[in-house]
Amino acid sequence: MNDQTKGWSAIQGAAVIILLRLTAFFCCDEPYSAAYALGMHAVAVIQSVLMLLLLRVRLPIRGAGAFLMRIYAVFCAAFLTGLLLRLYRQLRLVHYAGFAILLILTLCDTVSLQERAAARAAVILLCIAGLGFLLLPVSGIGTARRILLHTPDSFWAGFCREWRYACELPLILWVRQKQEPDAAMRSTFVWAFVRCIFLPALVLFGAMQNGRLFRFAGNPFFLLLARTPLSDAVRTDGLWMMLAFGCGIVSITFCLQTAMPQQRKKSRAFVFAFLPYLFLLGAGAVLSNQ
Amino acid sequence: MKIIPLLLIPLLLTGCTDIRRRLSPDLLTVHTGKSFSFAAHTSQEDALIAAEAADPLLMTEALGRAAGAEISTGHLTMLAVSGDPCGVTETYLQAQDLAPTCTVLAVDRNACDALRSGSLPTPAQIEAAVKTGMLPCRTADTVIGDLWGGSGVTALTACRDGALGIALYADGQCCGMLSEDACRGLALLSGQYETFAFDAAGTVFRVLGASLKIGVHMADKLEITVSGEIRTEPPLTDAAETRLAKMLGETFRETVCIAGADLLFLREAALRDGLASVRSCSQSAWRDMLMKSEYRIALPLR
Repeated sequence: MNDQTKGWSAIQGAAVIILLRLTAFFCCDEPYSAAYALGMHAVAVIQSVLMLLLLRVRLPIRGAGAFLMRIYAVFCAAFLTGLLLRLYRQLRLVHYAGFAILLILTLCDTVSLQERAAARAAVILLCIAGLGFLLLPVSGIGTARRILLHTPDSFWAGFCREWRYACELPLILWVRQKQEPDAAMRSTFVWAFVRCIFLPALVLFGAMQNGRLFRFAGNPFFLLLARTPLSDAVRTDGLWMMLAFGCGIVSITFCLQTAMPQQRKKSRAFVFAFLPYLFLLGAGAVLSNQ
Repeated sequence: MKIIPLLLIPLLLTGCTDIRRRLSPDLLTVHTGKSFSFAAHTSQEDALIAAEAADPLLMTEALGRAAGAEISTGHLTMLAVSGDPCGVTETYLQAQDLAPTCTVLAVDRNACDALRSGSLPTPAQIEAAVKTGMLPCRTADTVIGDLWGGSGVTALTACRDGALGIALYADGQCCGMLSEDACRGLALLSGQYETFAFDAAGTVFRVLGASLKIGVHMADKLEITVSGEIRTEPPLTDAAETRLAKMLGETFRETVCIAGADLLFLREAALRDGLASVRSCSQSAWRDMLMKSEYRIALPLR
């Protein structure tokens, strides 16, 4: 089989689904605490067990299932776009309207690419993110305080927050049908590891750094970065900003490509995905302004 | 792989601003009164900009109008405030005008005038005091963190009559200054010094390492115990140990017992040590408990 006909590899599948959660993680504005990490871990364990059990489900998804999946993908794309635009505001970056327009134009272009392009881009971005995450303990080892793991917070609040941001769950099934069974299983295990171990550990690390700033109105991940500069002169915020928006664009592209029905006329499929997406974005903007 | 260059678009867009028209102050002073006065020093042009506004959040606009340029506070190294330093710091931190690691200084007279007259301590002076363990490190994140997560009392680096010290603030008002021993004890417990030297019975001791643990237990009242080990060069003598215990004791007496301040994560220590009732108690109740508490420095410290 050549590269075009064989399914997505394990790493491509894992990268796409991890990137969806990573985008939501970068944009999440809930403060970090040990209780949140514990709630996050509990949700991730439940979801991982569910997904591993669902590995036995017969795929591909067809008919009503595929239609529901498309609707969900549009909602997911709008949700991630909303989070990305909110992050842009929170980081006080300039030319908000210009960014929003260019984001939509970029998505129009990326959605028209081959579906596998998003998977390849996801692998690259995940590698960059992995390298970036290696820098975090290096920069923050001296300022982490273990006592801050006892900062009072609610486990159940963390549990609910994680359900809200774990938007990738149904899409894992969609990715799986593009993979060989072995690759799907490995992807699910990698995703489960990131969700159950890596992200809660990152939140714990953030809790030890961000300390008592749990009423901070901004983004806790970028607060963590601001509190742990690599040195007096070197900061990594720019890298993470770029990465967060990159992850967002690739994730939204994947969602919109999932939402596109299989039609001969690509322009029609494009309209089917983009019209409800833009409608949801507009509705979200109107509701948030009220 | 057409998608990769497209990912650069947001970065390029965020850079699409004329940086020649942007000034980044390294020092900002705010004086709160009927209106808010601002003065900023920019290292790019070594110039002072002054402005006034009715609201602290209008600072960048007001200074921008005065300078004829956009103001970015991303490179601020020190914020000096006279009047209500906690309120201003909280406002700027929430609005993300202030880096969490920015040094905050409370000034007893008009901070803007002090900057203009050159009588304001420089960030380098404060940093030197922190590095030598004369003062604890009090940056915006620690100041506001203690205000939010502690007992509602916080400590700020303060300039009083030209001398640097630590002032305690509650409800936006200064409620006391720490003695030199208490400042040094707080610096020792905070552990952000590079060198820490002290004199005992005519000998100078240098701290090589300290691993101190604060335990919080409940008997009739809250009991706070400091235990652990401090390694020094030359090795600790009885006199040196007594001197260290005095510094640590003064810290607890002045911050906890007199002001009810929780600057050393006492609430978290209480939760760690099994005092679950502390989780739900209000800031004022926690402050009352701290003011009625007893402290003990467990000797030996070697």
